[in-house]
Amino acid sequence: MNVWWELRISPTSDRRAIKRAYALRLKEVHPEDDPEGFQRLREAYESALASIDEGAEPDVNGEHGDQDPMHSSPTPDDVREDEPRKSTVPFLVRPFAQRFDRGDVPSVDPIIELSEVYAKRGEGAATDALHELLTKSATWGLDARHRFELKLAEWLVSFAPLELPWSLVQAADEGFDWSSRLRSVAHEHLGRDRGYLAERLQARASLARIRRELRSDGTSSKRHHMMRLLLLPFDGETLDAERVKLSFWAQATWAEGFRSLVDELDHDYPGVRLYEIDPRTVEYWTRDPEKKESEDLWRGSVILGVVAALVLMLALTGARRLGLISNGVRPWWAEALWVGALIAAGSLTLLGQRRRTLYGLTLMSLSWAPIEMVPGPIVEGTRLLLGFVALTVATDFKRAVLYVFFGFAGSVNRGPFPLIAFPWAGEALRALFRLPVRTEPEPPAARFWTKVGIPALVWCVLLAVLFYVVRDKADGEVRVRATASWIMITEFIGWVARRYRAQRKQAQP
Amino acid sequence: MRHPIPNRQTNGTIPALMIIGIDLGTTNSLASVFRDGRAEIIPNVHGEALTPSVVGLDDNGELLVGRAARDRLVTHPELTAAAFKRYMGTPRQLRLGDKLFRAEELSALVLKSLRADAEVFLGEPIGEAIITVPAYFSDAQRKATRIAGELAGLKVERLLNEPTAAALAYGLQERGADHTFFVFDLGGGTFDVSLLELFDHVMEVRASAGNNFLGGEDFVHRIMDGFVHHHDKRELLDDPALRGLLYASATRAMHELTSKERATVSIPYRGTRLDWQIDDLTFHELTEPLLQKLRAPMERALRDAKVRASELDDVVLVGGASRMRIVRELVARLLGRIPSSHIDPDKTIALGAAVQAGLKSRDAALKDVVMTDVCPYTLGTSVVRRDKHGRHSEGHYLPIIERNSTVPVSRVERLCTAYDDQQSVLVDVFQGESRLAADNIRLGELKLAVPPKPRGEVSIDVRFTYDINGILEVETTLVGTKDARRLLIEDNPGVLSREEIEARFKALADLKIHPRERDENRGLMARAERLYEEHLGEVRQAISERIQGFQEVLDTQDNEAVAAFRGGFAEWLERIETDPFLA
Repeated sequence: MNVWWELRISPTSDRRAIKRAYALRLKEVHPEDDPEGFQRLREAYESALASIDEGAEPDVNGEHGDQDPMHSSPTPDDVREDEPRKSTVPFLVRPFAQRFDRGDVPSVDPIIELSEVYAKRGEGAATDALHELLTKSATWGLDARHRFELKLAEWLVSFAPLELPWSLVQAADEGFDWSSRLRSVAHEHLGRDRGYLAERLQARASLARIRRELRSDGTSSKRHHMMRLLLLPFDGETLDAERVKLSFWAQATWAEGFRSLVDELDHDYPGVRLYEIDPRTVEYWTRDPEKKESEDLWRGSVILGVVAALVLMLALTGARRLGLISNGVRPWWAEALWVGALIAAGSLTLLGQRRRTLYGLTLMSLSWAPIEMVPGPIVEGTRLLLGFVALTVATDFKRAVLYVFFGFAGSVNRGPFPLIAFPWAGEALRALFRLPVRTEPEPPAARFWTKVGIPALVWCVLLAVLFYVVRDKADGEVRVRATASWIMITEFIGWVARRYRAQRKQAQP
Repeated sequence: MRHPIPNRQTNGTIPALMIIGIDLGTTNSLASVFRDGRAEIIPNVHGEALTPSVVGLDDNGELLVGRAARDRLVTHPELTAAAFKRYMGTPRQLRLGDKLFRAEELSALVLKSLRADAEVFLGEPIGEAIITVPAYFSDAQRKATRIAGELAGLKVERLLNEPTAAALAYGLQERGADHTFFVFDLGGGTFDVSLLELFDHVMEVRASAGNNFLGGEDFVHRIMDGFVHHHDKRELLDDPALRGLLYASATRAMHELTSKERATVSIPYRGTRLDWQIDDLTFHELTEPLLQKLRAPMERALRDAKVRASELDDVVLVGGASRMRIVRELVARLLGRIPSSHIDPDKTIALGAAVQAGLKSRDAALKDVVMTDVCPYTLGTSVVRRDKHGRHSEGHYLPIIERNSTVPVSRVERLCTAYDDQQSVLVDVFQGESRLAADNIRLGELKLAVPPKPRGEVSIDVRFTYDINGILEVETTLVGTKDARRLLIEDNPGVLSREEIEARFKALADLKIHPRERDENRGLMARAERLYEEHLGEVRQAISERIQGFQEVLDTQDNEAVAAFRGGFAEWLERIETDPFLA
């Protein structure tokens, strides 16, 4: 549709000419007779007018170049006198001019006053002052009120996003009903900062929704916990304190988790991330905590630890073979070494991320095999403890408790009926509490499978059950399952190995 | 696009039946006609311009319309109904004795009476009328007004918005000049503002806003509440008779306050009188919240039209309630000028309706003038929004026709299915400005069957057409086919269906209307009875005697004697009514 053809004029930016052309055409295309033609004409007319407006800036200052718009209040002089033929007004007794009260429109720009109050006495006093002004403005002329609204919007827009005095915006919103006119507020008032206040209002509304959700959330799910962390103001100490509270595994994947949460926030609660959350807090939580150098350090120390453990193992085996130490005798230095190695491994797992967890736990699992050669309650107790600690930081307290429970259950019921058996745990316990060690004759090799095979099967089933119980469904937590299963698998292997060895030992006199 | 109003060929001749204009108001109604190049008011059979919009049932079971009925509001409140314009577009029924009436039927009775009076005045049959409605009337309310016209035997092809009518009445004097009007229309039950521009004989509405539940009646109710509070007697409002008396007195006080500083509300109560004197200031305090409500639509109209108050050329006050001094002051203060009301505010709208009647019948005197109006509220539908994670949220409002679009207007939006294998699409129709569909007013819905396919692959075109009378038509088409469904918003409980209209038309025709010839006597008697209720002591005694005398004369059935007595009686009652010492 050619706009100018519809109007039957050549392209122009003369508003008056466009209106005249439209008026002429309207006589030919009557809306009652030809609604479709009229609609085309109307669209053309509106487009033509809009094309003039495009170049123009909205008249932000209200009056055409008037320096002090607030002074243009209705005065008796400004009021249009009725022209003679309209002057018969039988319903009025007294002329209105006398009843205009100049007093209600302030002589000083109220925004200047308001900003002074804000600077000197703070947000609370400014909000009260604004409320008063809004109440008074109810009786001002509509133009004066419109200019006031505009200047107020401009003043509020001049604040940086996170410093915006929110109670003032709220008071303004109540007075001028901005939230229900978000689109038009942006369009009418804000010139280049089109939409800023509107977005700000929307962001605050979103924040209110979030807070309501968090308040009503009784179970404290992980997502809500993360949202609370994001809403914290940026304060290094507070954030560090919060971080330490996080379970190790959450730390392991926190950066990713927070990143995906931040994306979701952008969608579900528009504007919140931009205006209501401190970007430094966001940065703190979404950055990956590790640095490349410490990764290498860690790798180095793990390798060192593994090598040391193997060397120690070989040395002890060799020493036994050579008859330097006899079976059953536990040199204190060997125990100390083992405990030291285990402590080192355990504490390193405390400090790191996912990969460290795996390294640390691997080390610990490997260390369980040699334990058989250097049995002893202290070592085993330490191992139990470290296993517990490792699982706590790797997953969370709940799972660690499960681990200990199963360990105890297995150990108390040591032997062919493990729940999930951690036989050594039982020994450690007995030693710690000086319970009598229950020794029972090792079953003959023939009954290996009844003694080992079936329990192994049972173990598998229970492992699967435990695995199912400790699984975590959320994205990014698949590794928890991996860790838990890793532990269980190595335990299982260790147990099978021990059992087998025991059988073999039995079989060989 | 098929349009319901057929194309008309104009050949300059005036159609066979005359078109009149009718202002169907909450408190009063008027009829008007355009002839000899000007608009004039058609007086009713009593010679008055205003016919009260009141319908009553007299003791014989016959219907009364107008002043006679209004007087009976005081004496027989359970047999009389007033201010039923407020119930147009709702299924609410009002009780008159043992009969129930819908608002359309009561309005139809008023329209019938106006039509009959017009036919007598003009000496020719009337077939069509232009009826005015508040600019802010909803679709259901407009349809109900049309139906009322149909029930009265009038063809109502065109509805006219009241502020536009007012502008037409004023604008006709401003030929040749460019003029921006602001019309402030505060009627008995509704409040409308419109901003209009007149240029080159084109009268264009730029913006409209209003409040359908704010009018002069609310101001009267405030006075009534104040009175009850002042005397601390809640039972005044519970007793229909006392309430009727209080209403009448409060209305009178309000009228007095337009020209005097003080007014008294006074009713007889248990053998004595309860009085309350109010002045301007008290009235202002009582009605403060109502005055506050007047401001918002005014601001919005200015904002939507992007016009500043200082740029207006004229501010026009229309509607009886705009006579109130506090209202005029408020308008003057807010807009920074003295408003015009040199045309009687009660008659402005009717005169404008006559102008439109003239325009419609292509009266030669108006051949240059064209008028366009706007749709005062946004119309849209509810949609489902889907995000990148695949989550969806329902209930978002998608505007299809923005408010203050010039009518007639037709807009179409293409939507697609939101879920896989949807069997049908529900298009519901809303009116309002909120971003959540549920916060807007629901007008109706339309279902269209669609082939089951993955979401997003089935598209429908939804077209909203808002015609020149403000009636909305919705059409949905399945893209790629000719399969279309049209909505007539029939399931709106406020609007009667075709069969119901037929049935009610018959029912109304069967009702006995009080014969016009005896109407004057009946009216006089009703007035006398009302004054009897309102006064005490000696005056009451005197009225009672006169009533008796009138009854005796009526029984003689001697028309001349009756006429003679009637003249003197009417004068005497008039004196009683207006005597300040007896008020």
